[in-house]
Amino acid sequence: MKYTEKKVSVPLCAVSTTPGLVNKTGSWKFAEPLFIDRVSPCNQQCPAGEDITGYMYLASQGRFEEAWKLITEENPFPAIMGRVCFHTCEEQCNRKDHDEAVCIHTVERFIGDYGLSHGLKIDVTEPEKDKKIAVVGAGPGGLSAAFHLRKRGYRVTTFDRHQKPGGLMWYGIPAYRLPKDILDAEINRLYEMGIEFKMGVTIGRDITWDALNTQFDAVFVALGAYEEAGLSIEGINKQGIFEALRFLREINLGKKPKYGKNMAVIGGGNSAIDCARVCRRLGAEATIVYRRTENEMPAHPEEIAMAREEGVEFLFLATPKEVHGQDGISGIKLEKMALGEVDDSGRRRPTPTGETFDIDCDGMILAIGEGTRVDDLPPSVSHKKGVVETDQMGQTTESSLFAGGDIIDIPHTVTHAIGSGKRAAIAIDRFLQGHKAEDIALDQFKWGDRGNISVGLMKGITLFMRRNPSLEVIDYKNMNPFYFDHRPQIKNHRIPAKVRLKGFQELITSPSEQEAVSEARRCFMCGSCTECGNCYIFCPDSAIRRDPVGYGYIPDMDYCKGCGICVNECPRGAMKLKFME
Amino acid sequence: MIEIRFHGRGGQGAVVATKILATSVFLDGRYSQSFPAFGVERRGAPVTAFLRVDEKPIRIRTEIYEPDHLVVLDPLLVEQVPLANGLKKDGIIIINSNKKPVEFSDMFKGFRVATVPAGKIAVKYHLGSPQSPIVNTAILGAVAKVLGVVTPESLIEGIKTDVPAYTENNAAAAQEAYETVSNVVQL
Amino acid sequence: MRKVLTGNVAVAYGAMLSDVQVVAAYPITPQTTIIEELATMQADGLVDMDYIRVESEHSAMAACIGASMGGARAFTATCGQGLFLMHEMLHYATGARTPVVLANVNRAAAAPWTIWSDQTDSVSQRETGWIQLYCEGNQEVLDTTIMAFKIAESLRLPAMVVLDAFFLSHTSEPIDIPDREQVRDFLPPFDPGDLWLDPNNPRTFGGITMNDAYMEFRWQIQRDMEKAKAVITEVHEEFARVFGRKYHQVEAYQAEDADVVIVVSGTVASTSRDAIDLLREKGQQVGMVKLKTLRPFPREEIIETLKGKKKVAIIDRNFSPGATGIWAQEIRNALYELPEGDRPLIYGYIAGLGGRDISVKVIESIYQKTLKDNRPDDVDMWIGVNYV
Repeated sequence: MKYTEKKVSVPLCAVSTTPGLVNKTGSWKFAEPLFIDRVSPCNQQCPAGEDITGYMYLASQGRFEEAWKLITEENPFPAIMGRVCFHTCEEQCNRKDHDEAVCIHTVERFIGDYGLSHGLKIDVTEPEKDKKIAVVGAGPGGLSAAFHLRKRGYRVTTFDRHQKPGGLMWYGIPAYRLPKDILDAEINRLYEMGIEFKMGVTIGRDITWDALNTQFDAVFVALGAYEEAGLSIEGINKQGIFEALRFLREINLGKKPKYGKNMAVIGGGNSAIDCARVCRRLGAEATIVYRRTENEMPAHPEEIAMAREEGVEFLFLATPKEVHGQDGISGIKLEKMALGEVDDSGRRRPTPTGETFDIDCDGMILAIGEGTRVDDLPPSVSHKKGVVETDQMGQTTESSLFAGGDIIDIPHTVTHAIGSGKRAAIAIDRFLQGHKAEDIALDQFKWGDRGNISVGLMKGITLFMRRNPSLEVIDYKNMNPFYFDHRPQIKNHRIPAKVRLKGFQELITSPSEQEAVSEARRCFMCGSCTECGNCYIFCPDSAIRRDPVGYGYIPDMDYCKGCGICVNECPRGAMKLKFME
Repeated sequence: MIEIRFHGRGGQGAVVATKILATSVFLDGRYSQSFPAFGVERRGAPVTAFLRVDEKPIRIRTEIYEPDHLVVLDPLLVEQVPLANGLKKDGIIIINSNKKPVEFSDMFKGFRVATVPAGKIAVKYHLGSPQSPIVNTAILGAVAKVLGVVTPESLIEGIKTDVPAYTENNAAAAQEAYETVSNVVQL
Repeated sequence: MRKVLTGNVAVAYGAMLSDVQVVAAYPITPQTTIIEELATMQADGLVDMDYIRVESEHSAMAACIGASMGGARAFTATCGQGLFLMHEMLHYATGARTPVVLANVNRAAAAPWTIWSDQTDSVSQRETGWIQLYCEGNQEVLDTTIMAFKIAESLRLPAMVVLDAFFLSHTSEPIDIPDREQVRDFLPPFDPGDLWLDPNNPRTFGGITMNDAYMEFRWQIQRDMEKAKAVITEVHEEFARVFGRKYHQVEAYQAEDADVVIVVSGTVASTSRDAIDLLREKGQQVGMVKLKTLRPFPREEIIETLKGKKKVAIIDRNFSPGATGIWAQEIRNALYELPEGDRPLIYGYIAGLGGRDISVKVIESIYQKTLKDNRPDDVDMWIGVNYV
């Protein structure tokens, strides 16, 4: 008989006769996987409460307009932020434990510039409200509050005693760090949103606080820190001695103060660095005199490094004792200092040694700290040592008056001011609708326990999907970095130091689109599901399914044995295993 | 059947030259076959490629040992390769050279030779680099003129089919070579 | 439509016209241009397929098996060392009854390192249960690729299209490209029947099988391989009806009245046709038999064709160390069934290893030796070897 004629009653291949579905292996489990969106450490760190993970995800796909929209949910000024924020987010970046942190600010800068070059606008989609709000101070805090309130449909009027809105962003930051056209262009969007600006008006003098209170339903105050600390040493009134902010303001206004050829800058903060670098650009020698050492300098290390590149000299452990000279300054007597015990700020305290020496200089800038002036606020607003007392959301002891920026108890940075303006806008909105400004119900919209509130989370923005938001912050050791390559951080393109000294040209040039996308792709998108599919692929029981709603995956508990492989293989820590009782 | 053997160096385009000719000959309504004597390709290394043309389907699938004609993309190859090996007695050798055919009297004594400055033409049309011009399309113009195995129209069409980059320049190079190739000289 | 194409591009056209759905492959000279061309076709939207990049040929075949079990038409291509690495999965494809199609560009085995042609790679897979279809020209390569899917899918057995490195893979010649709709009529979409991985009805495939059933599954493979001979003939005939080109598992050329019959496969068959014509012009009674299938081996047809011939010269572009050329082994084995008087003398020749040319002259010399020698001087004879 031929083979072909025989019949066999088995299938061609060994196949189980009952479908595998009858065996509900889910009954074996004592743990179950959960999908959870954790907070990335950068998001928690951002004082403005930006969704960095979200816009990195969008930028990594070249979706810059959406990325811009996601940033401007939280912060009106991405192009400014990408330039002047000290990006402490990058210090928290989980990728720094892998190779190097993601260069977040460069991507943000690209997105901000993209918004400007493409003329992206903010749409006020909320219905117009009849409530009116006054914002006093058009610095970053005030502008941020005005922006967020206007987006909510309020009628906002912003007052400022200066001619230009922007506050210290305009008067304090030199143009090589933040070009004026970028600043003006981003602020211009606020005009286009319908925010009214009344410039050159000092509240308390031109308009009384009472008048303001009666004309407006709520007031937000962010006066900034313009008071400069002085030195009471012999000869301090000689010609050629400036205070830092006054010096920078004049430069920013295009005026030429009578500076010398050999400038001493006293202080160790960012203002001191700014002043010294400005002097170099004006053609003068500049020496920073600081009473502690470089380790204790409050200035940003990158700024210090760039100042050195530009030829700024540093003299540490020295403090001025006396100014030499006839009418004008010709030198300073300095006292040598030594480092003593650790003080309240966690830094070693400078202690006098009694030993002095002289240096020659024909100009001196004092950058030894700036303070606030809050005495003119209405008496019902309580304050202590120049710091206005507020709750977490910025509400002062006068219930319709909210405060933010440098006059409240937060670090004095542009980004913190912007974050405080956003918080206060949320609080004012709640106040005007009859809710308590501060409420634990708001905690769920924070980036972690320590992070700022996110408008995006409150509104349920879905540009970057978070299906199961939580307050848990994800760290590197709870991720699975096997799935990430090793790739160095993008380096900012800086123009050469020689070229920088020729003027106030911006010292960093913008990245290319390709560079921005490439850097955004370095982002791990910590804690969030990006639909990478590892859980789906690795599940030995095919118990992970596509979410029928359309994004991400869900476990099928009928078949999930709780083995936890999906959780282990999730690169981003966007899953966790819950042990059952 | 006409059998032509091409000698060149890696990078000059000898293999592609035979492919273009195979396509062009086919467009003329004849049968063709092209085939590289495949080495481990390196720029500058000697490369041999073959072309067969016939009125009927070609069944033989071997290297060409007794070519009817020879195309030499670099005459300096003679130092490494016995170029004229097996060449039939009245075969024609087309050489990429700025020299006149008589200047090859020592090298190719007894054969018929034509020369064409294909390298110069290739450089003129920006094909390859001046140090390493891609001479294949230029030399094909000379092949069309001297050997008559393909019509110039089909050759241009073949170049357009098989050369995706710089198509116009390649076609112009072939045209110029067609017009400027020397007469065939019996050495 | 007629175009001048290389053998590798012809393979890609064959797969594209067959509406292949999954390609998983790893590049290796001289196969690379096959998968490059397929990737280009995919990018150009000519074929709606998934292209899976894998890290080895072993994974390529594993992915193809998975795709095929999922009900997709799966294809891969490789050669030489790549096919050797695939070996384990080749057996698996057969046992799982997945009709994967594989184009193998015959490349000789290393060491020493080589990229040129001989059949050692494919004949080494003789026992894996793959149908093996050898080609002599680029037209046959394209046509066979299409037919391979039809043969494989109707038998639920994998099929290998075999073409010589460089002599086909990199040789350009005019070929006819079949009309796509005609191909679709000829080759309907793969219907996996009841035997496929259905996510909504998950079942275990190929699970552990005890000695009470294993042999039955193996027996079915043998049964279907035997059936394959009839299936291949049917497919050849249908292809001829639709496209006008007829192929055979065993093709005799001028062999009817031949005293000496040369048996060949691959491109040597093509060159032999010229050699035979040349010898016939000189009055020699010589013919040629071309073998297209190594598996299933067409023993009945071979017996029928070679019965009563005086001398049969078999040219093997391969050899089994310690034994003989593979085609010679198979033919000797088949012809033993004949009564002694009808059994021809077998002259086994080994030639063309590592891409050495088998020219018309070589074929002529094999003929002359076979004609001259009353008996073969050895069980196989190596042609053109410069013995040290």
